[in-house]
Amino acid sequence: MNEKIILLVEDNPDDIALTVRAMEKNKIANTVVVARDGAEALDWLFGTGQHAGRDTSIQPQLTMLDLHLPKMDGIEVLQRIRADERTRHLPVVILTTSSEQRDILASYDHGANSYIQKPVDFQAFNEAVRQLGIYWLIFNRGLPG
Amino acid sequence: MRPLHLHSQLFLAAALILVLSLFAYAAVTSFRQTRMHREVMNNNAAALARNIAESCAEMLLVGDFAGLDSFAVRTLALPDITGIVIAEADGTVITRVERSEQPPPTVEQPSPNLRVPTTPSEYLETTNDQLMVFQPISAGELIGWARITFDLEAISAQQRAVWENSLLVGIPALILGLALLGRVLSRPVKAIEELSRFALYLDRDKGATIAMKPASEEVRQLAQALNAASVGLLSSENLLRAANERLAVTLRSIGEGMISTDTEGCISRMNRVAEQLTGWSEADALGRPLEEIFRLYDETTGLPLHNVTLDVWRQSREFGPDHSLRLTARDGSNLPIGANAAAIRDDRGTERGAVLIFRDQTGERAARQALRESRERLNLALKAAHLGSWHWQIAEDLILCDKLTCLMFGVAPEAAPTDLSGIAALVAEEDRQTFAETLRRTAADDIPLETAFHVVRPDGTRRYLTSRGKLYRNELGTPWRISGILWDVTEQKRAEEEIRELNSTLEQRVHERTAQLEAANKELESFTYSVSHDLRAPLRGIDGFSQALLEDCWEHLDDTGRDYLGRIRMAAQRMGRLIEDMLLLSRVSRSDLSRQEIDLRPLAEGILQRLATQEPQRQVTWELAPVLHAEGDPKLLAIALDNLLGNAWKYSARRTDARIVFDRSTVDGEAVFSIRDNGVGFDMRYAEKLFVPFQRLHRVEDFPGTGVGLATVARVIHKHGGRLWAESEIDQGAVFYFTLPESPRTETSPP
Repeated sequence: MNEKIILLVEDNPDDIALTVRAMEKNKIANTVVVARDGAEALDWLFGTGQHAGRDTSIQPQLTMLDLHLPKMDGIEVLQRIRADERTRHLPVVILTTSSEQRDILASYDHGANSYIQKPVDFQAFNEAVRQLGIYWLIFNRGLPG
Repeated sequence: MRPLHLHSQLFLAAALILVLSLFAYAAVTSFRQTRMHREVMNNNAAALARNIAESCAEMLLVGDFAGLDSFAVRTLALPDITGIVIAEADGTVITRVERSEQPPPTVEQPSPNLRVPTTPSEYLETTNDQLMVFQPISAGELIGWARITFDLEAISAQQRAVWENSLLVGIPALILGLALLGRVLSRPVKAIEELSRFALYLDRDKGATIAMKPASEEVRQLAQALNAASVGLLSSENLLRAANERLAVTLRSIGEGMISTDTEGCISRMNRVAEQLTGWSEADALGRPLEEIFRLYDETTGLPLHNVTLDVWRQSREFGPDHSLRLTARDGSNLPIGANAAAIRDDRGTERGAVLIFRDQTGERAARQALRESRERLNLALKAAHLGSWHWQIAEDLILCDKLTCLMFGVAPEAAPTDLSGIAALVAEEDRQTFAETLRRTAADDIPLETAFHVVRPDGTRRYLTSRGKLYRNELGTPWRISGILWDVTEQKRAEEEIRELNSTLEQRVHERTAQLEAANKELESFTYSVSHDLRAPLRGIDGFSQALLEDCWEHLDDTGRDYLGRIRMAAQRMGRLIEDMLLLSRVSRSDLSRQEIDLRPLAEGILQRLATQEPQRQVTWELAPVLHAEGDPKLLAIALDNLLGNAWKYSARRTDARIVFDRSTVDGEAVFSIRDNGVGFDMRYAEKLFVPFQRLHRVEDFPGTGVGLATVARVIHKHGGRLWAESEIDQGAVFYFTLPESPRTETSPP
């Protein structure tokens, strides 16, 4: 219960590896659950499909959501998260390569808590992940679980 | 010598006549009485003489001389007889008795013989105061002579009496007559004097009349005539003055120049226009020869026309319009003129001078030239536009077609019909009636002619023609002719039909195209989107794992390996920036423009502050104009300024005294913004490449960059309808200029 899980919804294995590496480098020791597409993410969150039977009372402390995902894109995943009572208040940070205005707008419209563009420069990326971890896992006060 | 006063003259004349007539009367009377007396006397004397002779004859015959003596003495007692001589036939005096004053008559001794007359004409002999009568004494034969002397004193006395009587009666009558004459003459003379005085001042007091009691009918008539003359004089003077005034006004106001000369050809008068055209004032020109003032040249030959001028005015000829005359004014300037001249003659036909009328033809010739040119242009235009022209003389039913019209109808010009029915016959059958009717209606009701019809040419081709025309009326207002133009609209008609067909399918095609465009746009968008997302992810992988390699396998890598990994990272990052910039450019192109008032100063200030924070080691000063108001999209303008100021910052990096100036000036009413730096500048030869994407004028090692920034700036400025250009010299810095036109305000916000 006390373990702070990070849900990483990302299809690109490189990005997954780099994100995980950046967390490790920045001493973020939380469990990272990786969902490789939107459907899998929702399955995990709602205990359906391949994650049927999962204890859905355990919800992630932070969800890092990419927008470009196979099967179901990030915005739809976000919509579903916000539509469900169990996940309505989950902190969802959009972590994407896109810097398009409409993506940013759509994300906030559908209740994203933050929007971060992944820089190409790994060091900048590293820094972004570090600050993200510090803020959402340490400073941010979520709803009482 | 001053002539005598009229009164005196008349008086003297009358007096002279009176005296003369009196004298003549006296003379004639006296002469006639004297002659009468003489005749009586002569007769008496002759009778007495005959008596005496008869009385003496007997005594003489008998020789009784004593008896003769006593008879003579007795006879002498008879009055008027002053002497008796009796002589024999041979003249021997027998008795001579003479009466003397004092001594009594005595018988004298017969002394000298009596000279006897030889002819009867000598029987009477008159001396001053005596009449001697010779009387032959005969008794069958001449026996002697008697001479009786009569005294003529009585006649003289009678004559004197006549004179005396005449004077006695004549002188008082004369005096009285003269007195009367003086009185009778004085009234008419006074009247005449008065009239003459009046006449003398008639010139001065024109129109005045004289009122007087007429002394006589003639004087009355004279006064009346003078009054009439005075009034007539006034009115004719008024008429003359009015005529003069009219003439002067006319001369002043006519647009023509007028010069009149005397018979010698010297100027006698000029009007104002003539003064203006010749450059001579009338005062200066008066009396000078015409040739000096009115210097004419033939325009075509350039030769002076002095002689011609003189010749012309002497012959009263006119300059025809064909003469191209040029007048040289006093100051030497030239102008084209038209002129005509005529001799001035008095009522007897004697030449008194000449008058020359001329006018400035500058405008007239220009107008003629313009008319000619306009006609040529019209013809040219008709020809160029393939317009035929035609005229229909309505009354004569005569149609005149030009060559092109004939050509359109498909007939040879010489074979073209010349009346309406002939032309109508050329029109296709289905349009023929309408065609003729339309023309007739235009002629009758003055409806502007506009008709289109088909013609079938002799070669069988069908053409569609259109004609437009207009009705013209003569001076009396009756329809006179219709003039029109004609053109072939076959092709146009065909094109119209095509267009109509195209139009009917246009909407569908628009729909198709729009759909295609929309699809293309969508495709572009999704492409951009994938570029933004999918192209960058691998780069991050490359960069990230290179970094991971460097971090995790540092000790396994030699320097070359580390250097390569560094280069891989640099390349990946550079590509990341490229993609970033491309996306920005594409975003600028796609974004909508939302114009608003914006002050670029704080925007620029913020950008420069940020640059200064990023590179605190740089020493850069900047100067911003106090007011940098513009109208535009703040986001796009921020992108543009970001690039321009970033460039200025970047390219002045090598200078320790780098300086950036952002200014605004007004050129030709347009706001021009300029961003100036004192950096490395660029070669103006390549200036046009500046705003092309991915084109760079500097090497990446010298100045990093993607070559998209200025293309983005250009996109932003052009999107605002502005212009962007740059000026530079190598190592002398660069200036980038741009304008941002203000959009026209279509509405004002309601209060």
